[in-house]
Amino acid sequence: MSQDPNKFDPKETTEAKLCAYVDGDLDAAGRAEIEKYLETNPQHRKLMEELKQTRALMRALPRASAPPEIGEMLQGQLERSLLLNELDAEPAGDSMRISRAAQFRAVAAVILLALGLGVVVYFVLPSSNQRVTVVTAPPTDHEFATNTTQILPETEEASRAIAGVPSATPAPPPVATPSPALTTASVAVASADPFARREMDRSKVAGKMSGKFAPLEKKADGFANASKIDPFRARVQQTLANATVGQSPANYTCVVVSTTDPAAARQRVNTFLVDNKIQWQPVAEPMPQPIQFGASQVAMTSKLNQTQVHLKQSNQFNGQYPVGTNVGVVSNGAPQSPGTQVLTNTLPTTTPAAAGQSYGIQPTSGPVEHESLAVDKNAPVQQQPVQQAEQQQMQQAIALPTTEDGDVGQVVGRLDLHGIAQAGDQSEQYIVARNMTHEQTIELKDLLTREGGPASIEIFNTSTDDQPLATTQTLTFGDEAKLGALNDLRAGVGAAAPATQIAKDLDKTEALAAPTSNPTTNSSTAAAFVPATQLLAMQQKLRAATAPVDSFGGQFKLQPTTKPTQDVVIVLRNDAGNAQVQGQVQVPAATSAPAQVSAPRETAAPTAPPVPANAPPAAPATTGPATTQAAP
Amino acid sequence: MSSLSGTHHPNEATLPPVDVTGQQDFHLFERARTGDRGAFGQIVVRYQDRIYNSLLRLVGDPEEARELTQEAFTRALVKIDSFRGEAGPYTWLFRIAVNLAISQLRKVQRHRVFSLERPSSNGQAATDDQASSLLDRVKRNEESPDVIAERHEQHQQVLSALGRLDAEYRAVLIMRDVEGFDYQQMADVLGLPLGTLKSRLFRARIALRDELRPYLSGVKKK
Repeated sequence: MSQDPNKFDPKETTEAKLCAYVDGDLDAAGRAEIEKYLETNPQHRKLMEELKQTRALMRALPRASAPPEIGEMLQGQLERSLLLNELDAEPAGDSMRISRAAQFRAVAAVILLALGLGVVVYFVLPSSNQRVTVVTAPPTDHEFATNTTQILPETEEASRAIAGVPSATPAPPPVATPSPALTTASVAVASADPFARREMDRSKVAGKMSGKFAPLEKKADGFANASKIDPFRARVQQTLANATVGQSPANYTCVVVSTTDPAAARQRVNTFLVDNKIQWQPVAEPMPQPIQFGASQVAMTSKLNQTQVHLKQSNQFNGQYPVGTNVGVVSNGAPQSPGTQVLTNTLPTTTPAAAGQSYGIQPTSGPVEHESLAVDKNAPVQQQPVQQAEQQQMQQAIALPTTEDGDVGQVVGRLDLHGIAQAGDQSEQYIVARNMTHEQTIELKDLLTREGGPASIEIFNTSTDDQPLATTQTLTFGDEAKLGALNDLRAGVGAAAPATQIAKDLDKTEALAAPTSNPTTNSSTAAAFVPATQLLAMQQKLRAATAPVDSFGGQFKLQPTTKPTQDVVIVLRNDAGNAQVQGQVQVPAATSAPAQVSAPRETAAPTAPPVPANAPPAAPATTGPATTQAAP
Repeated sequence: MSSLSGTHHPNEATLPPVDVTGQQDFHLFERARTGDRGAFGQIVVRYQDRIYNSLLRLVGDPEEARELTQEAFTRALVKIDSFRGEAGPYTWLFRIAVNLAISQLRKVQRHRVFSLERPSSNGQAATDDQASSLLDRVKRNEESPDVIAERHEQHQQVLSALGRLDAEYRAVLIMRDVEGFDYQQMADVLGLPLGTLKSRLFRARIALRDELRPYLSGVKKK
């Protein structure tokens, strides 16, 4: 067929006349003209006859009637739309209008409800941000030896007054010796609760009136009445009543307030004490004894039992923390209780006992609030692969570990870029070589692309604020066409093709692998696509029907710059979305200044790259993930 | 308004009387434009067979023709406010349908093998064709099986050749020879000048002749 209906044809008029002639719509003059022409051209008369015949055949075609469901379906649609339109078109009468009075009543009800809720929350419900703990230092005369530590819930009554109560528990001695002027004091915790404030004001007034801190029983307030009911409060009142001003410094009352906001609580207490002209001496809570516990033991690391940690044993872990082990706990940002007891046996990490050891603390069951990670520097730990991968991911996620001179001249990074599910997506992986001098080189070794290329490598410096220090090197390997041919070839080899076919294919490979541009390298340029020197190895790989189908390598030397050092970024980019590239980046030792090299990070979803056998694992973080927090 | 059925059409008797229905169509369209859904329902009932038949000849697939017919009427209902009466009601409706079909054919870009056999749920073929009207059945009963088989083959050949044509050629041939449109109606539907329309129709006939040449030569030999 060669029909082009829209093409302009100068014979259009003639064709129109002929069409009308075939259809019998031509007037007499036109018909006579065409008849005259057809008499001299019998072949065209034959054409006219055939056209009339086809016209007759077309008109003889039977006519089909529409299936009944067409009408039914359309009728249904029409009925539905009719009903909907009628509903839409129904005017809104008075019956549908919401009266103003009802609106006002609804608004008033909402406001009343909100006010009621506010009153309930403000006056009835206890505050959730304060817990009160009362502990005491041991009195010398063990007068109240039967009392134990009490935790008062923060109700309005508990907020009214907190009195020192001697504790029977073995508490450490006070750090600071109270001055002779320091006396037993009654302490109330300032609270946002207005009721508690009112009670404190009453105490203040009573203190002013009496000139000293009179027993609370003498105060005609609710607390005194309540003390008749609560024996603990009665004991508190008794303690305060027996406190004598100006007596032995050992006779003191220690008040420890447990709160989620120590600064605010301290300020409130101080304010209250100042307002009431109470002298006091802040005393630091003594540190507990170091904990000795072994592997697989669960430690409750908070006085409030909010956190549990579980020790994981490493290969060199003998079941107990050795002296000098630095164990850090990384918080996930949740506020910690001031009573949290953190493992803080801190010694310098250069202690021989700490070298080469690795410990981890991870959350276990219970109301765990902390994530934990502790690793030591340069620890050649033989971990399980999964743990190793997890640890690497955590290290990468937390910080870029920076090593010192030791990495120069070694394999400093491994490029691993795996396929991404959706074509077109790009993922990047980069290695940063910091403070490189122009005498140093970056060597990319054993870069292999697997099926699905292409991928590219960019090498550029980050000193964009100055003159260009080094030309951006963009190396693309895994050309689509060549890679496709190679993949086809590999598939053929993998399908156990005849030897002759393999040889032919290998010749084809050789042709494909012939350098097309920039075949050689110098100290500052890149290698070409599939260097000829690697052809044999590639052919061998093809013979083995293994995966690598393309390889690349090169050495890059930075150009002399105006700056002594520069940062260089090596970016491996997966351009096609499904390339699989592996390789290594090596920075040979410099003659002058060393370079600091950061381990690779992926911007795409992290995978668990295998650690090369000939390369040590990336240096772990020594400061980033592990932090130590002292107890308050 | 000229005849909807065109001239010299052998099936003209089966089409609605144009002069009468033309006025009725305008009236129905006016009522439908004012929101009378019942009037539009009458339009559907009146023209669904013709629309469906044309679309069936255009696309060649009964199921597709049915869907296109429904879509054409739905679009007509949506766009009925845009009907100004400049063309005939059926011309306006047919324009929607044929544009839908041509768009569909351009999307699919396929050449179909047309069949007379119309699949039905009970497996019987072509029982509801207009050719199966009482008169046709009576005529068919009078004809010998050879004649019926020969006509069946002829229809198959014509439909196959039609299915191998371009959509534009197919449309003009169906409008002219199946639907019986006159040139002006065809020009209204396709938006073409009359001369261009006639030229296209002539070329379409030549193309159909080329497709049917083997069959025609065989018939002549017989």
